[in-house]
Formats: sequence, structure tokens, C-alpha cells
Amino acid sequence: MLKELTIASMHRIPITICAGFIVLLGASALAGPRDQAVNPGKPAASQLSPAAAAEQSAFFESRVRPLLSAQCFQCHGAENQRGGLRLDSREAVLKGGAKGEDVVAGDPDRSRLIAAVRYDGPINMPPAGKLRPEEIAALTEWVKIGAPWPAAAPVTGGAAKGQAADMVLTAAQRDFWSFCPVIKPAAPRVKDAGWCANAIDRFVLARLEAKGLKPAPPADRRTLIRRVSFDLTGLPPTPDEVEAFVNDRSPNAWQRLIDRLLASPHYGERWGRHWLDVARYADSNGLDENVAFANAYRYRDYVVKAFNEDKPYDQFVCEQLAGDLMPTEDEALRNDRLTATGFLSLGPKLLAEPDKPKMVMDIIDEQIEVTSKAFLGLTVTCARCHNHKFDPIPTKDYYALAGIFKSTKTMSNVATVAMWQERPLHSRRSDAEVAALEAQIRDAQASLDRAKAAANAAVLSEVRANAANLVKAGWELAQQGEPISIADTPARPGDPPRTVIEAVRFNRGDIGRDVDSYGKGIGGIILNVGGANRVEWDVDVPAAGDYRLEVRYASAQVRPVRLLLNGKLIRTDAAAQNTGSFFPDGQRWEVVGRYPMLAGRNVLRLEAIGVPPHINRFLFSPVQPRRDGRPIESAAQIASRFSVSVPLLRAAARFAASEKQDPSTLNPADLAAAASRFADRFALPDAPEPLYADGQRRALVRAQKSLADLRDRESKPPTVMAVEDTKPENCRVHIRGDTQNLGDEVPRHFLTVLGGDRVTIDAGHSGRLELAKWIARPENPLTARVEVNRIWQGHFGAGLVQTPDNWGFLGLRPTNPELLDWLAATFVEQCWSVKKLHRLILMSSAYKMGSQADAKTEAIAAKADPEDTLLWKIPRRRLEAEPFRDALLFVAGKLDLTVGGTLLTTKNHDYVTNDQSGNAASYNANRRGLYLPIIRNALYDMFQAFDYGDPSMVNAKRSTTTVAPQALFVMNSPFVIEQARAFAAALRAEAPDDASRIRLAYLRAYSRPPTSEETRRAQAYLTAYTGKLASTEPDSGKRSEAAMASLCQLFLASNEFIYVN
Amino acid sequence: MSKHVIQPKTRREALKTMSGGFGMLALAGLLGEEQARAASVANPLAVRSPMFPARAKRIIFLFMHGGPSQVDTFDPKPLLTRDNGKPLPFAKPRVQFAQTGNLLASPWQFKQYGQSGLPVSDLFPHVGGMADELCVLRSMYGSNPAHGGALLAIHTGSDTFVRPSMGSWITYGLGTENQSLPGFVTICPTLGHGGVQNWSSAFLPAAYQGTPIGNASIPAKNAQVSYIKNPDATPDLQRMQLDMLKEMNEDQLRHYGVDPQLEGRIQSFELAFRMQTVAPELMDISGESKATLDLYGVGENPTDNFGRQCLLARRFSERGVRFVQVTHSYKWDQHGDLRNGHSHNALEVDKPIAGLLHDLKARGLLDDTLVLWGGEFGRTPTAQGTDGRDHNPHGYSMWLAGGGVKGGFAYGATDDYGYYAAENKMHIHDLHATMLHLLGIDHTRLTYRYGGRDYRLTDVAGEVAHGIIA
Repeated sequence: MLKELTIASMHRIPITICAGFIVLLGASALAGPRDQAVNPGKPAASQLSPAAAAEQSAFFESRVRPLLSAQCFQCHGAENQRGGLRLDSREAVLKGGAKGEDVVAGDPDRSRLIAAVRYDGPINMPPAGKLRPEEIAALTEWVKIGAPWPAAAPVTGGAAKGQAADMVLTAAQRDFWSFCPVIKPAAPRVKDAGWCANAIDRFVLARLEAKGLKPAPPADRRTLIRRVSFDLTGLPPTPDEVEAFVNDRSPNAWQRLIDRLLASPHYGERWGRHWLDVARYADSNGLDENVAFANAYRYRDYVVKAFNEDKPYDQFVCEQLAGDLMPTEDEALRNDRLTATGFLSLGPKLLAEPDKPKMVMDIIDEQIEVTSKAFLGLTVTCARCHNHKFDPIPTKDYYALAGIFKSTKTMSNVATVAMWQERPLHSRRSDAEVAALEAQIRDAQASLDRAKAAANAAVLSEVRANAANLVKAGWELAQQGEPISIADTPARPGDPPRTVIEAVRFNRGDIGRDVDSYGKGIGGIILNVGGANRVEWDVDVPAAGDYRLEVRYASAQVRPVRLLLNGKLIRTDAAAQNTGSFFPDGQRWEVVGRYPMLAGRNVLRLEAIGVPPHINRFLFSPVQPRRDGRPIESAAQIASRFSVSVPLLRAAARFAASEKQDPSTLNPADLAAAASRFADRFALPDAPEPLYADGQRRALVRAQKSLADLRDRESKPPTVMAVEDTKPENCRVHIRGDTQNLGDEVPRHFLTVLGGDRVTIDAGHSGRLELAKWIARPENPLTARVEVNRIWQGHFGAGLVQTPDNWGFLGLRPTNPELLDWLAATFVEQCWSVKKLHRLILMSSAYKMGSQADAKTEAIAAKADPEDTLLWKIPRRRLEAEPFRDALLFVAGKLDLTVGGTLLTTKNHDYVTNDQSGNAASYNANRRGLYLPIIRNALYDMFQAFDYGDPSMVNAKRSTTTVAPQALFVMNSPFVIEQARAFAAALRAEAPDDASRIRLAYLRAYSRPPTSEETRRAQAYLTAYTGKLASTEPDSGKRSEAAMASLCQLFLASNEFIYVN
Repeated sequence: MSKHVIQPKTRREALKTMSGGFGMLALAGLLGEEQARAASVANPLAVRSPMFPARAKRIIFLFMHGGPSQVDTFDPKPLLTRDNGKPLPFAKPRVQFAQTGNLLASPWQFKQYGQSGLPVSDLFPHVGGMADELCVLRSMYGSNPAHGGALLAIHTGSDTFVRPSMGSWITYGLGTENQSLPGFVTICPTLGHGGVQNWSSAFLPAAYQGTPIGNASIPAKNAQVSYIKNPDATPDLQRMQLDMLKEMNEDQLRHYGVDPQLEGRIQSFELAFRMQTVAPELMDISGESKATLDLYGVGENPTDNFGRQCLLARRFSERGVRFVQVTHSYKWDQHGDLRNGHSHNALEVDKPIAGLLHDLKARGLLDDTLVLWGGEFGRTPTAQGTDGRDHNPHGYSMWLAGGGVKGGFAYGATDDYGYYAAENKMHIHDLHATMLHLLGIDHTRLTYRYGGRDYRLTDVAGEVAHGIIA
């Protein structure tokens, strides 16, 4: 490593000169390789001027090497040398293959390689198709200029093996404002010192005064408490809290309010959520294989706790990057630190990526992305394929960081489907967690019981309501006997013999067998990936005749198979039901049909159409011809003719078999008697599930599964998504990001522009801990600035740097750089305490301004600062998705303020979405939005409509769009309607008449009482609404309930509710 | 409280006296350019002019999820038939989804159709009947051989990162013509293999995300836009409620003076109310003639479902929706049972697709509607098992029709066996670039700055295939 460093530093000077030459010799450099080729056969780049060499190198790297890599290396590279030819170094190219020289440097027309790519010789290459004309031209040109291979001529500086020239960081780049050290400025002098409550105000006011602007008058107390409550906790204040603050005449009323809110557990929920946006938190993987991250919530809870405890930000940074490497005796802290590293694991991954080296590098890329953006506000991943186009971030820096993450184990395997790593926590669950889990199990059991009871009741009422049709249909089926499954009926003495075929014991063909998972304990056939998936069974029956064929299978999707009997196609859609599960609990018998069979050997053949269901058995049993000689119908046909369900039809057929007369021929009274006999005698079987309607069965299966999953979770120790160090290794530069085109090995280090190339990482470590400490050191010019900016943004709607995720050249410059630095320096001085920073900001006069300036300032500002970047007033802000939803529930009196835990019902690593099914997560909970499952690729539709953003990407600043789906949600969603009703019910319960209810509604929704005009208008609305209902709703009580609910929905829908001043 | 009621101010009075009340134009005049641009948040879907004259105004994407086989549909390969059962005479790709065996001839015959004589296999006789409209891209290629990655690539241009979908980019670039409908609609999309990501706006504003109508598990006849109907209130009660809402909101706006955000939100409720009427009307096909329904195969099996989707696509396009996607979900993945599987799939879509092309043409819509057909990749000419083909992103066919492309035309070619794209190779980025070009957009200039970087649908690649433009 030392040696490498030396070489790199030695080359720094020549490269600079080299770069200078390129500029000076710009004309020739731009002229292209064609003009260079005046001297054909010029063998080596070392004889060229540095500029020409650099340019040759650029040509080779951009036009030739990628082409060779993509088209030739596979057969003529390190692994294969077809025809003895290797094309991955100049020496090898010149040496040629088995037939001798393939390239004559300087003479394309005598080079066999060129003839081959031109497709005008005995050999045409590449075999799969001719290259594009411009590609052939590039190769020809390359041979013409002597087939230079910059690896052989290290004039390009540190780029030993032919990668792009080293990037030289210029003084201007190093001096870019955000890379300069933070120096705490003195607070400026201002004219109106009386306005300034603290230093922040002096910085703000100085800028305003310079433009002739005046800060807006202070907001009133109602506005302030609503603003600061949403700011710090994401919840509106209660009317009592508002009144208490409005009437608190003590000089420190404001400070006490802030302290109360900062001490609230809901503070961490609010500010933790801001961080989770940055950490691209989600409860599922997203991308191609959308499987559940069932333990991600522990990271979320860690973040909330960190904010509530006011964990110093530098520690917070270190724990997320390297918490597993920070030993401590404190068990709880050790768990927290392990959990914190979930930060690195939570990203979306292409879990079924077949190109494994690419998968590994993509995961590393995502980690570099989130690390560099979240902590440094830099777009380092631009340097994956080339030196960063705008910022001083060389590709080498990227791969230096990549080495650190390559030396970190994130995945437990990268097979298809790949699995991320989870590590057990050091302790058992906390009492609270145990209690929460038990409560969830109780809930799940209760909903299972409810689902069963509802389904049973539905069956019984269906039987009663439809009894006459059922007995008629049952008679029909009984007449022909065959479509009734007998598989679950024990054979009685004298019954004809049944033939059972175990699916796994097929006689010919090829299909997967499984006895461990899908066929656990019972055995079953499953897909053999890549196989033919066609099998045959020999079926011996004692006598010729008609047989009923039944199949037992499980599938949670519709997966029909084709069945052939003795070569004849009998069904193209057998076993096509969704039985609710792929596992033995979903196994169900189904009648395939009735078919003639030969005495002795018959052959049953199955052909999969796509993926087959999991088939366990077949059953053959002889059936008699229909007694009345009429043609046979399937059970489904009969069921549909009589509008009854197939399973109930079967039950009715068993009943009708003992009836004397065809019920269709009975007179109405006798039919009614037969029907009620049937209904009376009908009892739910021990396993009534097959009688349930599809929807109810599915609901039941879901309920069973969530219960089983919860029990499973209970029985296992808690684990967290977490990383650990693995064998340390450096990464090689991937030229143009290509995993198959490797350049130099780069020692692990950090960003050069911030001095990160001068650190040493112990050869025995990944370097993650060193990276964490390097980022979190007080001298790092970005870490504190980036975080204080986000906190500022959280309070004022916009940051001092309005591109919080980009502090590079393309990011915006700070609107008040001195203030930014003063805040950053103060933050570090105050031991990175986030809560102290909040206090400082909230105690300023700037924060307490109103959202309307005086007319004179507005007139000046319209020209001088129309976007309010200097803060002459407080921008009006729309609530984000979660606080809006929380506020809806809160004013309705329904919000459950429980802190922490998970609402995800999907088992870890199970799919949360697939082709057919949407999101298995439930969003009906009355918990805070923070706790709703965040499902990538299928985000909760309310969140999606309200600009939640994409939980796959680092996002420190959500957008605020206004679109019709938001309005539709507010107008029509059952969720909002339900909250409006609950709000109305609460008002009715708490206030005696409409006027006082309206007053209370204003207090709860807007934190202010109505004007008399507003009260009058609302009353008029109630009257008009009840009037309109008069013709359709006879109950006057219900009319006024509906009117009040409609009015309440208006409050929830109004601008005043969703905007905060 | 006393502070809440504020005396009228100049600006407020100006607003009140404007004849248009709350019109955006008036606002623009009042606020000047800067704020008017900010105010356009009120209508991010307003129609925007293309950068240069467009050949197509709208897109319909008929997506065949699973990956139809090129050598069995639109890319006849005589040598594949001749060398059936022999090994592929050149190397297979480094990364394959599964192992495949020797060459497998297509079980279907190709016929030449129309004046152009464009060959189409027996799987698509109805589409064959429209051959003179088709521009078959025989040299499509990408890189990802797994469904998830490949779906993301065709829909968003990236199989590695989360990016906006092409429908979002196009709606962002051009806005949409019917302000009572979303600009980008996807009918019965798949929820797997990227799911919502495939119609998501990612970092583009939410207005550009696709509006799903149902999903793959819902029969087209039951598919609806979310929350389009109030479960309780009648339209006149709801109108009364919205009138009151408007009054409350405008009252508040008067207190605060000009605020484009507040005004935009007032308008969004009016748009939503209009959508409630327009969208269900549009979804109701009962007014279509018997002849039209027959054309799409609606009401008969097995074409009913996809026929309805195609018919809805026409109805949405006709009413000015910019980008409509129709998905035939996850059926084309014949690792085995190619003969039956592809036959059945083609039977479901052949007639509806031909019906759609025919109907668009008859209504004069095909001239400026660009129809794209295809899957996330093609399939290997080599056999998987005895009657199957594996995924193949290295060379496959899609086709375009209408919207300024050459009809009865085949562009590019695969190798002799149909494994790799060989001539006039068309990467997915090239397809996207070309589609944008036909819409009058330079793909290198349709950018959006996010996190400090200018993003494009085509990333840093993409070349317009001028050879396919009529």
C-alpha cells in the first residue's frame, strides 16, 4: 500500500504538467487520433509527447478498450483463449493466436483482426453479428496508430493499467466553499438590535437590512403554538394546550413550551422521520424482488430513540456506519449500535440479479450513495464510471471507498433470491416488546376467530337462504354421483376400490420433488427450474369403466396444468384454483372429472404450463353411469345452473342422495319442506373451510398465516439487519463501472479533496470505523454544515443551502453563509446536541415571525427576494403526508399514540407484492404515520399522493405538489370519511349545541375560535345539508349526524387545516 | 384570535377586482415571471409544446409481461429451422438466467402479409393483417436477463437505480391534453417485478406518476381509479360540500393575500370533482357499437379481458391522455410448454391488438398515436427443456406502429439464429430516445435536476434511430 501511495504522489506533478499541455496543445489534442497517425507503426506511446499520449490513452479508453471488453474478452481474454488468441494486452494482441500474428501494428489491411471484424475474410468476428461501422472504424484506427495500449506506457500518471488519467484536483476545486473549514464568524452589527433575541437574528437581520427589508411582525400565539407543535412533534396542539399558552403571561412561556415539546416522546418520532427520509428507510426491499424487511423497524425505533435521547450527532453518525465495531459493556447500547448499522443494509437491492459481480458492486454503490449523501451531502457515486464531472471526486476515491464496503459483509448470500445479513441482538426482547408481540398475537387470534365465525355464519345463512335451490341442484349431482369428491369421505365396506397415486412417485419424466418445504411431511411435486416439467404415472385399475379423477394440491396463485389420460388431453386447466397457500396447509382435493379407463395399466400425464401448483396426490375411484341416463354435467355446471356454490352443492348432494323424489318435481310446499329438512340437518363439518366463499377463505388463510408468522417470530431470538467486517481487501478500479474490465487496485481511503487520501487504514480492518470517525470529526467541513442545514430546513421550510442533498458544484450556494457556519460551529461546540440547536433556533425572533410581512417589505421583497431566501417572513408550509394523516386522526380523537414496534404482518423475506397481489400491509391502523409499513414499489397510496417521495432514495427534502388524487383522497376515501364521522361524534359528545360544536371544531382543527360570520355560515350549512337530506332520510337524528360529519370533513379538507403558518 | 382577521390589503383588493377571480394568467401578471413559475405548481400537467415538430402526440404501450419469443413471432430464422437440435455455433452470453441446450426451431410458420410482405408468424394472424402499419424492431437489446431488472429497464431506462418511468418523463415533457384526466394511465399493470416503480415518477413531481386502473389481478371490467367515487354522498350533496369548501378556502385566501399554493389546492378539488364525472364515463364502454366491441373481441373468450384493456386505451388516447399502458400480465414466460403457452397468449391478445390498430386508423388517430408492442426481453433460440425458451435480453423484437414510423418495415436484425442483435442494434435507450424524438423531444434535453444532477430517461446514452422514421 505504501508503495502505491508513493507512486501516486510521485505522479502528481507530471500529471499536472500533462494537463497543462493538453490545454496548450488544445488544437492538436482536439483533432482526433486520425491526425496522429502520420507515422504508421509508431509502436509505443512512450515516445509520444505527454499530450499526445494522454490523448491516445483517451481514445483507447473510450473507443477501443470497452469494445474489446464487450465483444472479445469473453472468448479471447483471461478465462478463455479460443484459437489460442488473447486480446487483453498489447503483447498478447501482437503475439497473435495459434495461426500467428493477428495484428500488424500500423497496418490494418494486413491485420487478420481487422479482416475478421470487417467480415471480409475466412473468419468473421464477433460471431454473433458484425460490429457497428463506427466500431470497426475505431479498431482500424487503433491498429493504424500502432495499436497503443496505454498500460504499457504509464505516462498517464497513476493509471498503471490503462484506466482513465488520474484526476488532478485543482486549487480552485479544493477551495470550493463547502470544502473549506468552518470558521465561526462573529455576529454582525445590525441597526435594529432590539429585534434580535440571539446571534441567529443578527445574521438574518444583517442580510435583510442590506436589502432594505424588514422582518415580518411576530406571529400571534395561536399561530406560534400550532407552528411549533407541528414542527417539533408533527401533531397539532390540543385546545387546552393552546389556551394555556395563550394565557401564559410569564416571560418564559415560550421557552417552557419548547422544552415541553422537546421532552415529548413524539419529538423523536417527528425528527426521526426526517432522518429516515435521508436514510431511505423502508420495510421492504423494492426493486425486483419485493420481500419484507421485517426487522427494519428496529432501526427506525433506534433512530427515534436517538433523537429523543439527544444522542450527540457525531455518535449517531459513527453508530450507523460502524456501530458493530464500537465495543461497549452496556448491553442496551451494544444492541443499539448493532441495530444502527441497518443504515447500510436498508437499501433496495436487485436480489435476483443474475450477474453476481454486478450485484455486489451495485450494493456497494448504494452504500456509498447513502453514506456520502447523508453525511457529506456529496454525490460520490457519479464517480463509479468516470471521474466526477463537476466535483473533485476521482474514480479512485470511489473505489477506495468501495474497498471499505467490499470488506464489509452486508449479504448472507448473493444467490437468487439473495438474502441480506441479519445478526442476533445480544439480549432477549424487552418487556415492552414481549408485551407488544403478545398483544399482536392476541389480536391475530381474535381476528382469526372473527374471520372463522363470520365465514361459518355466512355458510349457514347461505344454506338457509338458498336451501330450495341447493336440494334441487344436489339431486342433480347425486344422480350422477361422480363430481362429488369422495377423497375426504372414508371408504365404507363394499365401496368400490380406490386407487391413490402419490405425485412424487412418478414413473417417467422430470419434475421437482419436495418433502421439506412446500411438501413438508406429505411430499409433493414442484417446478424443476430448467427442466421439462412433464411427468407420467402408471395407474392400474381393476376393471374398465368410468372413473372419477381427483387431485390434491396447494397453490397461492392460479397455476393450471394440462392432464392427459392414455394420451388423450382431458384438461388444460386442472388444479387451477388458488387454494390460499403453497404449503401443506393449503392442500385441497378437487375433482378433475370423470373419464373412461381401461382395465389394467393406464397412463396419467401431467404437463406444466409455466410453474405448476404443488401437487400431492391423485385419486381414482369408479363411478356409475347416471341413473336417469341423461348426459353428465360437471359440478361447476350444475352449481352455476342453480346459482349455488360448488362446495355447498356437494353437501346438498349428500343430502339429496337419500331423498325419494326429484325436488324439482315437488309442489312448492313439499319443496319448502325438503329445503328446510336440508337446512335443519345441515351441520358445519369439522373442517368447514371448503364451504367458504373464496374471499372469506382467503381472509382466513391470511389470518392463519399472520398468526403463524407471529408465533414464529415469538419463538425466535430478535435479529436486526446489520453488517460486519469481513476479510479486508482493496477494490480495483472498474473501468467505466464495468465489473469485467478491471484497472488498478486502489488502497482503501476516503475523499481526497477532504484530505481523506492521507489516512491510513490498518490492513486488518475494513476501514469502516475509521471512515465513521473521519466523517464525524469536528474538522470535517461538511458533516456539521449538512446536518445543521437540515435542521434549519425542518424549522423554516427551506435550508440555508436549498439543495440539502448536494453540496457540490451543482448544489446551490448558501443564502447566508455566515449564519450557516456560525450554526455549524456552535453545533460542534455544543457537543453535537441536536436539541440544543433546536432551542437556539426556536428562541430566535426569526422563528417567531409571522407569515405575512408588512406591505412595504412585501413590495421591496417582490423584487429583491421574491422567494424569501433571506427570511423576511415565515413561509407557509403544507403538512407532509404523515403529520396530515396524524392530524386527521388526532382531531377525530382516534390517534393511537403508542411509540415504536412494527405493524408489518408479512414474515421476514416473504413477498409483500407479486404479480397478482398488491400490498399485504394494512394501513388501517390508527397509529401514527411513522409506524405504517413503508413498502417500496407499492407505497401506501395516501403517502404516494401526498409527496412522501420514493423510499428507495436519499431525500432530505420532500416536494410539495398539489394534484387531484390528493383531493379525491380527501373527498372520497373511507379513511377520511371515517375520521370526519368520528370528529363529528366527538363534537356531539362534548358540546351541547351546534354553535358550541362549531366553536370546538375550529379550536381542534385550526387552534382558533371561529368568527361570528364563520359560525353563522357553518350553521347555515348544517341547516341546508339536513334540508337536502329530508327527502331521503326520515330520521332527523341521522340527518343532523350526516350534516355534522359533512361539515367536519370540510374542516379536514380545508387549506387552513393542511397549511401551517 | 384578533390577529386572524386582517384588514384587506392592496394585493387582496387587486385580486378581488380581477374579472377572472383566481385565474393563473392574472396571477402571472401580478406576480411576475418568477412567482408565476412557482405558481405553475397549480397545473404541472398543462400542455407544453414539443421542442420541434412532433410526429406523435401520444403513446400506447402494449406490454407483454414475461417476454414473448422473437423467433416465434416477428423474426423468422430459416437457419434456426434448418439447424434444429444442433448446438448454437457461437458463445452464449456470460450472464444467463438459466442454462439452455441446443437450437430449437420455431413450431410456427411465418407468412408474408400485406403489400409490404412483412413476415409474421401464425401466432399473430390478426396483427399480420395490419402488417403494413408495423415497424418491427428486430434488433432490440438490453442487458438484464431477469424479469425484475428487465421490466425496470424498459419502463424506466435503469435496471440499477430508481428512476422515473418513461410515461412520467413524457408527461413531464409535454403535459397532457385533457385536464380532467390524469396524463399517464396504466391499465391493469403488474404489481410484481418492480410493480409501482414501473409507473412511478420517482423524483419527478407526483403529478407525473402513472394512475393505475385496477391491476393484473383485477378483471379489466372491474378496474377503476382509486377513490373516484364517494361511497355515501350523492353528487349534489358533494357539490354542496365542495361549494362550502371553496368558500372557506377563498375566505382564508383573502385573509392571506396571494398564495399560489393555496390557490392551486382550491383548483385541485375542482379538477377532482370533474374527474369523478369524466373517468367513470370513460370507463363505461356500453356506448360502443357492437361492431367496435367485436373488433376488439370484447364479449368473447379468450379475448374479452385484453380486448377491454385495448378499447380503454383507445378511449383514453382519444380524450387526450398522453401515455397509456396496457399490460398483458406475466403470461409470456414459457420456460416450458412454449407451444401451448405462446399459442394461448397470442390468442388472447392478437385480435384485440389488431382491433386497436384498426380502430385507431379508422378514427384517424393512428397518424399521431405511437403504439409500442413488446415484452421486457425476448427468448433464447436455444431450448430450455424440450419445449421452452429462456430469457434473452441480447436480441429480440418489439414493434412500433403509427406516430411517424415506417409501416410494413423491419428494422435491424439479429444473427442467423436470433440470439444477439447484430445489425442496426437498438438498445432500450435508443428506443426511448427514438420515441421521445417522435414526440418532438430531444432526449438529451429532457432533463430534471434532482439532488444536484440533471437526469434523463436515457441516462448518458441513447441514439435516435432515424432509419425507422417515415
